Amino acid sequence: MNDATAQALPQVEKPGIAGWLFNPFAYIAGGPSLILGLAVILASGVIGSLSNSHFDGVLDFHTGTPMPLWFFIMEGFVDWIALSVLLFCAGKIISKSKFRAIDLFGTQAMARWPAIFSALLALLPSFQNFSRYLLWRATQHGSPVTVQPLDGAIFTMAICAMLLALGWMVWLMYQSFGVSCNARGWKAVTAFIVSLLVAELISKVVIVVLA
Amino acid sequence: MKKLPTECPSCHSRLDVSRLVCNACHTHIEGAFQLPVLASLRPEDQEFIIQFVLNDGSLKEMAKLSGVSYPTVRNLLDDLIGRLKALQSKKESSK
Repeated sequence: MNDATAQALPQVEKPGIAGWLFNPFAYIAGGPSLILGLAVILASGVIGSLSNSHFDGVLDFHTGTPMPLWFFIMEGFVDWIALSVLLFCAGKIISKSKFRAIDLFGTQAMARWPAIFSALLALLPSFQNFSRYLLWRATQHGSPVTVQPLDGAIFTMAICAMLLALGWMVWLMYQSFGVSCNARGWKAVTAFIVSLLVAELISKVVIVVLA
Repeated sequence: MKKLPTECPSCHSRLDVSRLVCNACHTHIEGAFQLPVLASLRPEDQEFIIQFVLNDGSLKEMAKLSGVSYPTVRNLLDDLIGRLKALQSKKESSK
């Protein structure tokens, strides 16, 4: 941080690891965040396609149906646009500040980066084997699937890690909304929750229609 | 330098200036002078305004130099505008 100008902004803490992990948007927004965010959506779609893992909703992550690569990437874009558009409208309603669309759309795309962890975890052979086993148990369809003793434990740990990644992603999405629209307090929390739920519904419907 | 108090520690009303002194000839002037609105702002807000003017009023430049994002600087400015408006209306109502 430049000394002269840093003195002008004593309210802003210098970026530490916690800052970069939980509120990176205090330090990066606009064009750079949009470029990074688009790369994140692309990467999570490509990695997800390797294990047939779908981000089939703003908050959803399921393994299952094989689809062409473009479909996995499109799911990420639908999730991103659905939530960003709704948060943009919510920001226009509750915020008194003039904010830029590129900050909100860019940081929302970047906020999706914990999804890469979920996509990577789904590549674990034990995770895939146990998923197939659970599917076979539920449907009793096809030849029986056998599991190794450690598969269940690894599957459970992976699910816990994915839930943590989901929580982290939602936190980043809220931080993105707060920083980009200068939204704070109960109005911001309410607007975010409503937008998230509506975006989840819209993204699910759009993805089902496009499937 | 000591921080300029702008609020009464007892009743939290706005403080006025009642005495000025020339450090060169030690002339004392007494009267009732109101603090300018800018002087009533917090020191960090005053510094923000100085840097804002020195950077040609460019929030982008301030964000670039300080290593923070544009919306972060924009939000600081919006908060400062809010405090300035509150101070101005307080001043108007106390007239």
